[in-house]
Amino acid sequence: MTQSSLSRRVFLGTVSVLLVIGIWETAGRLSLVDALLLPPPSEILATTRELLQDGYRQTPLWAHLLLSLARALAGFGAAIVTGIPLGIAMGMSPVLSALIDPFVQFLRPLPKLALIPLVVLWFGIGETSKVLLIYLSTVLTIIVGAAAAVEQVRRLQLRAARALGARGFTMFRFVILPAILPDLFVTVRLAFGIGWTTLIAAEMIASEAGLGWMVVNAGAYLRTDVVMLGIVLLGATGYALDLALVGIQRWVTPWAGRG
Amino acid sequence: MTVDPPPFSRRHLLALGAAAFGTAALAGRAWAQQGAKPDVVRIGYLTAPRAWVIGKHDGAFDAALGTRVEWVQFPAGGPALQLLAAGQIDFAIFGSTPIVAGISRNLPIQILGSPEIVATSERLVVRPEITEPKQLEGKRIAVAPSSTMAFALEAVIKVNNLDPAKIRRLPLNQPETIAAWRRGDIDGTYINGPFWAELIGSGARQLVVSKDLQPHGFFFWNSAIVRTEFAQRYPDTVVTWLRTVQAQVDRYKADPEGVSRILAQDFGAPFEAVRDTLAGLSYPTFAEQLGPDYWGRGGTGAVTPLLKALGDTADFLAQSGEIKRGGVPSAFAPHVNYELLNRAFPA
Repeated sequence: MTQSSLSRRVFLGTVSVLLVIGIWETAGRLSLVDALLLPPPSEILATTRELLQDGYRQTPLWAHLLLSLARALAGFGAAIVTGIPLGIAMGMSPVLSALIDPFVQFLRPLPKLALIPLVVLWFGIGETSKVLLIYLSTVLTIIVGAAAAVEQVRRLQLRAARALGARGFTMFRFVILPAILPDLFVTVRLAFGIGWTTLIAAEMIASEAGLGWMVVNAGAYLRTDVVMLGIVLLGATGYALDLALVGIQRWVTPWAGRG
Repeated sequence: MTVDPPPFSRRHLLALGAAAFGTAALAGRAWAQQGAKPDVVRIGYLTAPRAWVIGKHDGAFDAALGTRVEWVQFPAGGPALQLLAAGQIDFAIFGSTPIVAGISRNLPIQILGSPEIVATSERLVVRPEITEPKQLEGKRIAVAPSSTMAFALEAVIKVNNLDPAKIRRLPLNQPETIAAWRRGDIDGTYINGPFWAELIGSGARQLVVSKDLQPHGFFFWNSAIVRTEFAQRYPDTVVTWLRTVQAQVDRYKADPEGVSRILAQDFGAPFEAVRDTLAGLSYPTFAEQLGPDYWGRGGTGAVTPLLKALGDTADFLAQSGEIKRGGVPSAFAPHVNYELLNRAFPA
């Protein structure tokens, strides 16, 4: 993307967001929309100020955000560390793949909410259960993505490398890894999105803080202003983390998209 | 959000899916003539056996109201508020705590008495080694969030002069509470029937039942609720609905075993659990509720016990930060539809 087309994109995006906020606020001011159903941006701003000052339910707003981030990143990090090697191993070994795949495919589409009672029974109501739920929702996607990436390495490329004497680690480090890294990043980005959405389910387990908990709890008391603030924070944080991942991707795989 | 009473003359339908993008559609509905009947009456009820729901089993409400009745389940008071806010149900019966939360958010609903008063249906059960409330300090107690039980636990703390900072209150729904109890993650829970039966069966000690808190001025009950707009358009339907609820409760009082048996079948729950849960509520008639011990007949400005209890509940919710202090109405009497209650059950 050239510099001018990037700034044009940012400009158009900003205009569109401001326009929507303007319409939203006007609809609230003119009482076209019941503030109970959709609080206007000015009310959400007032709530933000209030929560920044007093916190929500005795916990400062930044602590809610940090706690959610810590839970999500712990689960997500563990998923990357275990999921990528396992996925690559499955991609390289048809036997391993055949052994593990049934479990992965069975667990992957399960709604993680359905696992909550079991997770509580097995792992209790502490942080382990919350992190585990996020881990489970991301690791399966990463395994499948990593395995698929390996399977897509062109056979011609492998044969050529083998003919040139590449074996074992050398083959992995210089042929397979560069070929799969761009795909891995796509998988990781997708998985992160899934993990971030699981935050709400995870924080339904005996939480007293966290953005997901805040949204659910405030919803039970019809605090739509707090719900909207929570959604904005969840969305913005997710967006920021995705941008960070894209940044890392550009830095690690500068060759992506040029082959 | 303004603190004016919400405008009743219009009803908003919101395209919720596009809400975040500010796309909303407005639909004003025309006023119906006096005596008009709605095409459909949507009644919300808790996912738990309740005596008045016996009228769902044999179509008693359809027959009495002379119109189609749709029954909508909700698992707790919080979701009931959301259904009312979205205009998806017209009537419901649920707990006093979420009702106060809704009114404090200007949710256009009106209170129609309190056909169910919590007596022994909600109990604080604890590990057997805890024998008195003082020992609750330093312990972990689970309680369903935004429930009457959450408020009752606070009342136990207040009545016994316990240090609230020393008691960890864990928000857990009932099935997860049972699991956490089994693992030893919690030391007790304020929980409703039939769940406490299971805990007491496995050795838990019953420390408090909600009725014990009544002498201290703490009342927990389920109120009948109607959407304000519905009450204004179809007052006759509201009057008939109230009398039909009373008729169902009368049926239960005449034959608790028989009604429990039918409800147990409908809910797929064990008969004994349903019978004991229903017996854990007390059922003052609407005529009794309109007496000075509950709501009074209105119009006198007197703060009757349940009106006062609504104020106390609001205080508790505001203190814990669940609702905005500024949203709490100065008086709850205007949120009770005394006119229709008096019409349905004249003195």
